[in-house]
Amino acid sequence: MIKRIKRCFRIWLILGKMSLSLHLMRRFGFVVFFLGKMFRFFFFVLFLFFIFKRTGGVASYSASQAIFFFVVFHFISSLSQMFFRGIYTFRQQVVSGGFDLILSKPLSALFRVVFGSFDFIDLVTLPFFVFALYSSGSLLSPSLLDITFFLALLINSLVLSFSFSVLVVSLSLITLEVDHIVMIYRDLETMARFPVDIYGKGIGTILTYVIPLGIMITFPAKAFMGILDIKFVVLSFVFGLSSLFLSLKFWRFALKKYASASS
Amino acid sequence: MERVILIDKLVKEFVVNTKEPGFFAGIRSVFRPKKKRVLALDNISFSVDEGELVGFIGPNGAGKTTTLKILSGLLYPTSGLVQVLGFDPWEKNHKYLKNISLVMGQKNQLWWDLPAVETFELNRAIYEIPNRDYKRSLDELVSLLEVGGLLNVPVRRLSLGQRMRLELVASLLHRPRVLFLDEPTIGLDVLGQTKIREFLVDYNRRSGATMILTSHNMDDILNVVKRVIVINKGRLVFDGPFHLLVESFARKKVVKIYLSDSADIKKFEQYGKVVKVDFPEVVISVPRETVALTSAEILQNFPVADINIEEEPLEEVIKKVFKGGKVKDA
Amino acid sequence: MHKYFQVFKLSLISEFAYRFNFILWRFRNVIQILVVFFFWNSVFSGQNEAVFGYNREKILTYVFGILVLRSIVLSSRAVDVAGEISSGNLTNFLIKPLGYFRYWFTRDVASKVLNLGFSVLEIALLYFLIKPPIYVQSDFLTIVGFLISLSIAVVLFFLVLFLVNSVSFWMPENAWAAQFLFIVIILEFFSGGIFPLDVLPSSLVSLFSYLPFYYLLFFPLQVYLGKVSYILMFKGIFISLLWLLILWFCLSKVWKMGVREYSAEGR
Repeated sequence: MIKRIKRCFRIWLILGKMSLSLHLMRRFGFVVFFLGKMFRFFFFVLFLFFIFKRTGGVASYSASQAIFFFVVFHFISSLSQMFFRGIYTFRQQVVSGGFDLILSKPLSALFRVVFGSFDFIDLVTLPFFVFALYSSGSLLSPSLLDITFFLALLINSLVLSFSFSVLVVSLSLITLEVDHIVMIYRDLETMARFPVDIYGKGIGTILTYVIPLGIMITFPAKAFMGILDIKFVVLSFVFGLSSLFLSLKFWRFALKKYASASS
Repeated sequence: MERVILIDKLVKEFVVNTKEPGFFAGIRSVFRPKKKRVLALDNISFSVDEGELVGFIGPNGAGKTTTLKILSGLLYPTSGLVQVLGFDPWEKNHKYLKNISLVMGQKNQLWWDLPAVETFELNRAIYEIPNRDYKRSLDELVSLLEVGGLLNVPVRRLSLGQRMRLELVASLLHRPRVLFLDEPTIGLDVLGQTKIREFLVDYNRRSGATMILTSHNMDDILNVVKRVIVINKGRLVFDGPFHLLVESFARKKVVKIYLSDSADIKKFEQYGKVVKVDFPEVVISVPRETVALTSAEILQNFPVADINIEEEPLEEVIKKVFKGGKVKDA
Repeated sequence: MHKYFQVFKLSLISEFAYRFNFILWRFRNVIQILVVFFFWNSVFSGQNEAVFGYNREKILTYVFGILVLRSIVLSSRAVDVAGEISSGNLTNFLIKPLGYFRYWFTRDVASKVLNLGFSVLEIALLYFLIKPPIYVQSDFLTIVGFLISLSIAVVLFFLVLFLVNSVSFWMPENAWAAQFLFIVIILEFFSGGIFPLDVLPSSLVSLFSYLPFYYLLFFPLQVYLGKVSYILMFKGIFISLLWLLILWFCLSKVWKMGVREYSAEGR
């Protein structure tokens, strides 16, 4: 087991090195993307700041809380895009048949596909988000327990995000309309810039349990602020683990389906 | 000789969703797809011994690629026995996958924007090739395929032929015992094809690896393999030495005559079918058994400057193979 | 004129060929608008007084107005031009007796017509589903001013987009990066596509009002909502017209240089 993990990690490093050299080849694009992402982030924070300053808070959240929600959103979405970048290029690999060659290699295809390309743009933006997380979080004066829950839920969010990637990748084996599913998800994801309860009970519930954005983003942030009931913490982990289990099962199903489909 | 590949009564059925035109039909098909069964492989049996180099031919859609995909564990067989190196390919046991390689002429594993050597390094990690073996394989393959200067050039800047040779290097670094090649020369120019062909024959002899090669290209078959397996519409039509294939299907020979003087062309019809008349050249097709007699008579009765007896073009033979049923096993 | 009508017709047909993509694209637009809608809805649910000069009715009208204005101003096929240049496809056009700008403008119009049709349908649907209060402008001169500023916005966007596309002439492999930076990021914010700009301090807003982006979405909507006086309306129209002339001039220069560069490279 340990040996297998070590081997996967080594391959992951090599793949990472390869995508780094790709990034370095497109330095101009790299810089532009980085600037664009930073610009979007700071402009949004600026807007939020002025909106909340004037209105004195939205749906019982203060300006600093709202900004923290926003920063957590960016942090988690950036982390998952950094690690699970592969889902954006996977469909192309299926269409071109490159996936067949991946499948015929002695390495877990799922591992290769989901973790296969590491996004260094997100890695470069990460320190800024960590700093933003620190500076907006310190205003909220969390307890040590709050921080522990926050970190644990953060890992849970990555598990959820991984499960989502597995779902998308599996779907790409069955249908070719996956690009749209990913893009629609990304649009929906932006709803979690704000705590999902501001959308009212109905939509809030859907966003929490169906598209689990609430569990992925709002819950960790709330735990940090010490306003998340412990039963929701437990629920989050149950949700995270079961979606991991189900998504892996779905991947196996999709692979079998792919294997019996026409070439 | 050890049996490396064993296929017995293999059947592969695809379930295909039929698409109807129109938007609403498209929506409907999402919820209630119309399914159709397509028989891709119909009761195929053959076996391959260690070190053999087998040509696998047939028209488009005959099931060649399907067979290779089943052998490399990508497709799940509907029924029948498939065993390679004692493994069931579908289980994708890593021990098995480390001993095979799949090369597809139109699909690449090399990273497009990076030099090929980067992909080699990746494969080294994936196949866990020890350092010394890796170096030795790489040196050997590089010199055999003459790609020494190309390792550090981004793949996208290479010609198709160069790329294909590097694809071969990437696929052979781990010294697979069994090699599946799907149309490895497709799209290449004549020189590129020749290089790959020569390499394959040479590699087969040096390494003793078992190889199955599919191709459209008759020259590949003619120059590379001794044994051919022909399938058509999912059925095995012929399995045996190449010369037997020609003998059993090429019932006629082609006689080319160059006349030195004008003659009554009609008279040629008594010997066989007149294929082409383009004075001074006359081409007739003559049954194999009577060709000697016929040419002697022609030499006697016509003003002949030159006469040539040739085999039927291979494409013609193959066409007949596809038309006819199973002929005989060798 | 006839040939541009043909282009228009073919454009519409080809958009229909990718109707599944198109419908999903519209779906995404609706979702994006809903995100903003629910946000403002909850901002204003706690209070009845106006914030930043908007009451609930006006801010929600702003959100829906953005949906419509986006489909009129920002819908475009000319985003493909960058790709045409870098792939060398431009050559096919250069040898045809066809005005290149006119060709793409026609294609844009086709796309705008289609998107506008859909956005109106979507608004009607959303109106019945969530019954938001919608502000209706009734002052005649204001409506005329709105239409004028809207037409200017359409042309302005076309010019900006083509200028960004021209980057392709010199850096064919980085055209997409320029598009990303200018069209996806900067334009979205500076045009008020995400938040109304007057949420920001007034000094910043007046600074932005000297940029062309300001006149793409934000200004026309401000006019429609009656948030600017006649004098400011005329001033805005004047500034945007000035920008229109400046960008037109720049584009014709840059384009000529670009085509020369393109031919020299023999792509």
